[in-house]
Amino acid sequence: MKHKKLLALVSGICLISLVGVSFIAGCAPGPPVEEEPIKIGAILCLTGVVAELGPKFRAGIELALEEANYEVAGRPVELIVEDSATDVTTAVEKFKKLVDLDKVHVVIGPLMGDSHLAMAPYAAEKKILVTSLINGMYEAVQYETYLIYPTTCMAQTYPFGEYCHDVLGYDTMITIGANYAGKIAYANGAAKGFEDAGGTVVQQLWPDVGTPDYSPFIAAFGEADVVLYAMEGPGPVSRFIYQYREAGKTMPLVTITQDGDYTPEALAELGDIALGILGESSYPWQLDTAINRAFVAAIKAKTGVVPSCSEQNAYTMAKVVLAGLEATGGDDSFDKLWPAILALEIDTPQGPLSFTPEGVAITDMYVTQAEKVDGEYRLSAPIDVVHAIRDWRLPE
Amino acid sequence: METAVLTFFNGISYGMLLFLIASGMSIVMGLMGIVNLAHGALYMVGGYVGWTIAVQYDLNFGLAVFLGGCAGGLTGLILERGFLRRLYKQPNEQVLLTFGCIYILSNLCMWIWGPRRRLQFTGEFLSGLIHIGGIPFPMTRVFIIITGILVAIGLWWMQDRTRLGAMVRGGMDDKEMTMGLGINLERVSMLVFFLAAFIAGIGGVVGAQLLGVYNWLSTDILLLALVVVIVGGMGSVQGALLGGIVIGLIDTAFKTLLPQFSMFTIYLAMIIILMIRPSGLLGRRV
Repeated sequence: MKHKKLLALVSGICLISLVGVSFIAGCAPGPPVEEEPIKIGAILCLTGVVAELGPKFRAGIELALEEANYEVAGRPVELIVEDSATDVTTAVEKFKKLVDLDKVHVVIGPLMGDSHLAMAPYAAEKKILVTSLINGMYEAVQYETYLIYPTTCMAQTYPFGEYCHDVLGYDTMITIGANYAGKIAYANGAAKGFEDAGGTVVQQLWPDVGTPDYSPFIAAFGEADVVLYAMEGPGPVSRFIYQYREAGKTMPLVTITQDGDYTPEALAELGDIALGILGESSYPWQLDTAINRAFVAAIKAKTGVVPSCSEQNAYTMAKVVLAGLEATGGDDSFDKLWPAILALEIDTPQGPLSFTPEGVAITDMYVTQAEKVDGEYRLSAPIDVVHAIRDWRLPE
Repeated sequence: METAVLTFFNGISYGMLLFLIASGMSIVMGLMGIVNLAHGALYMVGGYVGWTIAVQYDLNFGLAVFLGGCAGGLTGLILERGFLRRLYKQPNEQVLLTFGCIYILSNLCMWIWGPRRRLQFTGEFLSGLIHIGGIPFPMTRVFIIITGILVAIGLWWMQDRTRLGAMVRGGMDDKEMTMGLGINLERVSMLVFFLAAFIAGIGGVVGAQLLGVYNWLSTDILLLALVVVIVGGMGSVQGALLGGIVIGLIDTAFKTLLPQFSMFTIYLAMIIILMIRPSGLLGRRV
């Protein structure tokens, strides 16, 4: 009996000691726990039809993160870059990998509108904030998880269509655009603006993406005051201009997304044949503002060439994400980040930036042209500007 | 009328370019039994080397064509000596190997020349237009047509009129008998493969006048080359020439007249031709 009591006493003391030691150990200061990084995904076209643009987007995003020292609201930031191969299927696969495996909540890119349309339902389902890189599809707006920058494709070029009629004085137009969602929207935006202003679009042609030889389409051109082209990137644009000139056609050319297509490298190789072609640009690098001058110098130091809209757009989108994260105190969940970003009003190298409640950016649109100054081919400073364009189809 | 003439001219020049791309592939496939899917990559290598000579170093365009051909030929030779000679009569392995080579060569080109697409380039003497009956014809396209004709004559002569051609044809029909006659068939195969790759390299520089050069050109070109080889019939120079011209004309005509259907017209043409002649227009009867 005595033994039993003694055993119970010893057991009780042991149990109390164990609990006590565990409690003390739990309260003692351990090694510091590292803050989980905020992961930002980027799907960029590093290979494929517009592979030359991928490194430009990457440089813009990296510059924004370097300026923030890869940190926001006290939390480290990790950038995960995936290659879309300029292909819809690959882009969707990479997006799912970023979301499901890497657990990112924010994805910058990809470039192509088709990819965005394919990704949009999954992004909405998983509540992932996605940003476009060079404009975006109006159809993606309905999902309300997309930041469309600088605006939707059609809204971007609509004012330029009006400009062609009202300012340049053209009455008839032929459009030729690459046969995929993004460029069809660009060309149709300009065509609608042109027709709403009183002009007539007499012919629209849609060569496939990657068309090697545009001469059959050029031979099919009827008569018009002006030809507006909208190809899928600097290479096809250059090929089209080259083959158009080679065919001896004399109708004036105008274009859209000129700042994206007329990269310094492409202009240098095109030489004189691109001179004087007017175009719509979302970002002319010669904008004379302090913030832009600093940005141009930083990109030049990083890449060796002046920026196009590719670097600028990627930089601005990364800046927007960082500003949103700063506002949420580092919370990257969609429900916190989305409203924080929509409330932003910031100054960017491109100009003032804000968003509609649907997530479509409100920015300026510029008219530019290719020029040769002191033997150097470059995109001109803005010839004209349309302030704060917004998609006319969104509710007021 | 001008549109019709220009369409015909554009179709012929595009067809000649397709012939330059596909002829080497057809010979290697038909005469040696090698399915070389990396043929487009050899075309691309030639184009890049030609760009380096003609644009980067601003040297003679003719030299660029020759050295582009040499680059394509040497790359092809490495491919044949290093790998393909071990895979004769093993089409599945050939397909897998050469398809992998496309990625390797494309990435090598991207490392060397970067991801930026190189624009069209040509010689100074080929710039501008010539007017025939008031219709402007670009000199670059005239040059492509002339090059295609010269290569076609050269290949036909080699295939049908030389000892080398006879040895190749004999080797394909009866390998043991040919070797029993004392012919070094391995050396003959090596020579033919080099020649095919050399023509691909030349095509890369000549074609760069229209297409420029870029690192996924090999896959873009591959599909067109396969269509031309299948339509024309394997192993026949005349077949590759006819296939190139037929496909070039059909593609160009539909793009000009009915552009909304141009995405699939060459494939439709291929299906119809194969239904009528399963071995291609000038291929050996199946």
